[in-house]
Amino acid sequence: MDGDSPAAMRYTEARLSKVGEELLEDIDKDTVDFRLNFDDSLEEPTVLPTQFPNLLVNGATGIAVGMATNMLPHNLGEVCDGIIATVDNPDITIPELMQYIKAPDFPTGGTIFGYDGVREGFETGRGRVVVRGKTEIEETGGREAIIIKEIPFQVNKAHLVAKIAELVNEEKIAGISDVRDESDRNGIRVVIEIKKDAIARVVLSQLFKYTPLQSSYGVNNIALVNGRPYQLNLKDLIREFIKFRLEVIVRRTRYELRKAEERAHILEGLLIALDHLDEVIALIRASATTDIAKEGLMSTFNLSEIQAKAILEMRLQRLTGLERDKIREEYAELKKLIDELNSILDSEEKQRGIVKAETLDIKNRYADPRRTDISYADGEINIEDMIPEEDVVVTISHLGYIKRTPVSEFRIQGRGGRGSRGAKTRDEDFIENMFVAGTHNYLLLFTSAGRCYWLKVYELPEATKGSSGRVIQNLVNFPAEEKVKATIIIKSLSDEEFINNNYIIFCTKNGMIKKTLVEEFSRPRTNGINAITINEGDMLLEAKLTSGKDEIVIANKEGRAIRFSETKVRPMGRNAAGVRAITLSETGNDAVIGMVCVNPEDPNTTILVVSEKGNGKRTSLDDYRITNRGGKGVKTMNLSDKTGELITIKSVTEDDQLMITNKSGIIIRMAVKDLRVMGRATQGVRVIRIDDGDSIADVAVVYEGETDGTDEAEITEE
Amino acid sequence: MADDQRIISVDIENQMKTSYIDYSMSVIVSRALPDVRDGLKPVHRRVLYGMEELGVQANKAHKKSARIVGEVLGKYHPHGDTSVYDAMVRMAQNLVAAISISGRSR
Repeated sequence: MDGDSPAAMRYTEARLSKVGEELLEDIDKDTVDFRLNFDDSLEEPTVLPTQFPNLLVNGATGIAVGMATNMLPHNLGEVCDGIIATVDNPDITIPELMQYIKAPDFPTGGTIFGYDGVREGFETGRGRVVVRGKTEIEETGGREAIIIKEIPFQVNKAHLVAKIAELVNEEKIAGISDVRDESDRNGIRVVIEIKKDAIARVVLSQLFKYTPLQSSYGVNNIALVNGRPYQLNLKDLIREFIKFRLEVIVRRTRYELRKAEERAHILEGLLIALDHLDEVIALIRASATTDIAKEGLMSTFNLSEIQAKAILEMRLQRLTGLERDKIREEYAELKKLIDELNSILDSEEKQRGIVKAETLDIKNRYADPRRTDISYADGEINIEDMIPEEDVVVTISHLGYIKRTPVSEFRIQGRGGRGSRGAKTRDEDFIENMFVAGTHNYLLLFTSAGRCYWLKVYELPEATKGSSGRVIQNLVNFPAEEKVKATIIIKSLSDEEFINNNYIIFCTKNGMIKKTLVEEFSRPRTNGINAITINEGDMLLEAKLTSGKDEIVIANKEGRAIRFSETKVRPMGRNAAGVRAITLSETGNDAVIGMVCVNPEDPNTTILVVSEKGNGKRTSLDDYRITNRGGKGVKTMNLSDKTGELITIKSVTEDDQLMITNKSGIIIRMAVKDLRVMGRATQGVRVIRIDDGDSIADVAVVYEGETDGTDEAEITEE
Repeated sequence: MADDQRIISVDIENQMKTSYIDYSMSVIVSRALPDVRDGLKPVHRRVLYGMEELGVQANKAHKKSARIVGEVLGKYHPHGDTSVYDAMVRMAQNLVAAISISGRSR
């Protein structure tokens, strides 16, 4: 069970068990062929005359050359029933047989999960059986614990426990606080304690997925038939066994018949002698030697040598009247036995009856109840079915830390409250994106290399609002040199109406733009897919969800911005590189700094731009003329040495707040409403004072949620 | 070199092929695969038969495993002792065990 090796043979003792003797039953009755051993000094059996359907019951594994065998163990009682049914009806079908022999049965118990592989194994001799350990969920003091009571066949418990611990350490499985092996001589008991906020059944299904607590076993029934390997189905196996039993029974009966006839022959001699007692005695007394006496008996009474010898070896006590009757009785019984044995040899019907009776006998003596349960239900239990669909607050920090927090963590505050901390972040980090999402929603992640990855919201680490969460890179499997550039939340990827009418728009550093239907991203793959082809030297900058009627504003470093309707960008496939959005200046230094998608009908939206050295301003969307895509754009800020290059473009409303980070690490926060709306071609105002040599690294719009003064949940950052 | 030495030249490729096929067949038939009738591989069969011949039936006292292994090795199974002992242990762990092994040592 734990993979401990057995005690060395010098410490152990052994004997056959009762069942072992059944395998050898009647071996001395000429039931099987013998052959000489390796040095021709002794004989060994070529097969054992087993009454016991050993192959089906105990299974076998073996690797030969070019072929291997793997037969699973079955329940003795069921196999016996199957044999009996086949004896009664040699034309029984495999499905009929399977009413008796339902599935393999493992000594270690567990549950067989899914029936298709079992059926295939029975019907063809090749299949696959999935077995799960048996578990229970116990609750103590409000905390749940998974108790493993049985583990799948041939699974090493020590390894299993170690594997679970390893997965917990690697954070592949969340929600386990402790693993203990409490097994003793009364049985297996592995205790897996579940964290307070985790769901035991979800953890359990992950254990099934990632550990040998669910194991699958190949069925490959290859065995030797007349010394040649064959793949055998259930019926073949049973038929061969019955054929063998019939052969053993015939050979045994013949042997018994021969012995009975030999004995009868002797008894006949003795009876003749008893009938002529006085003459026999006289003859013996007159003989000089044993040989003469023997010869005399043979010639006088017409006896065989064996009979004569038996008479001479007879003890005098056999001459009493009682003993004489006994001999007569024995002879009569022998006669009956001989008739019986002859009739068996003559009738296959009777031979089959014996197979049946002996099999029934084995069943009655040794069968025990099935240990492995069968769960006919197919397929995986969907984790999602066990996760309640509820709203959570997802926060993504500037440095890429992500987490989800129950909405209930944000308590309702009265008017004028100061709000509560949304997340604790590292010193230079802050929450950049915060939104409410359903646990079953999808989070689409787009990386700098133009790849798309998926996460379900429930897959995000659940954390209190005070903790920082985990880095996105650790949750999805993508190369370290890629960075998550954009995240988009989508309610349901199976909502045909939505995915066929909404788009994701991509924008690259070199000014390419591409629009792709959400539908193309509706089939999640663990390893991600290409969202856009990024040319050499370029990188993905933004990805936004649009309705197909939005407008796009893209700005470059040199202070120009272009506004056009998204209808100018025709939808393309995932692998396309897109079309030109803005023509960059030919200085070679120019690059796109950002893209905003705005709903032109929303009057509250203004365009915010900030320059490298701390100038910023807001401008009404209407100040940006709608043009075609691909142009050079219009001036969005008057740049000079004093202002530096343009660093960011955002769409903001009065209620938003800005987080401005300097390259030197200083973070400044300010309300958008403090920035005046101005004309397009102006320098803007000084947003923050920048020291010599310093510049702005990044500007983020901070999610403010409901502002003070309402009785809604307040989500603000201190 | 003596004149009566007999040297048969063989093609190495053919020799390898036939030898390998011989070897494979031998593994298939007399080592790795069970017989459909009793479900035993040769080593298991020999252990059981050896035990029977040694008289360690279920109603008799246990005997040292090493003695049984020795008997089987000496008489029937010209291979390693671990293979025989492992086979014995396996049969003691089967769903329906054919052998009982006890750990008492005297």
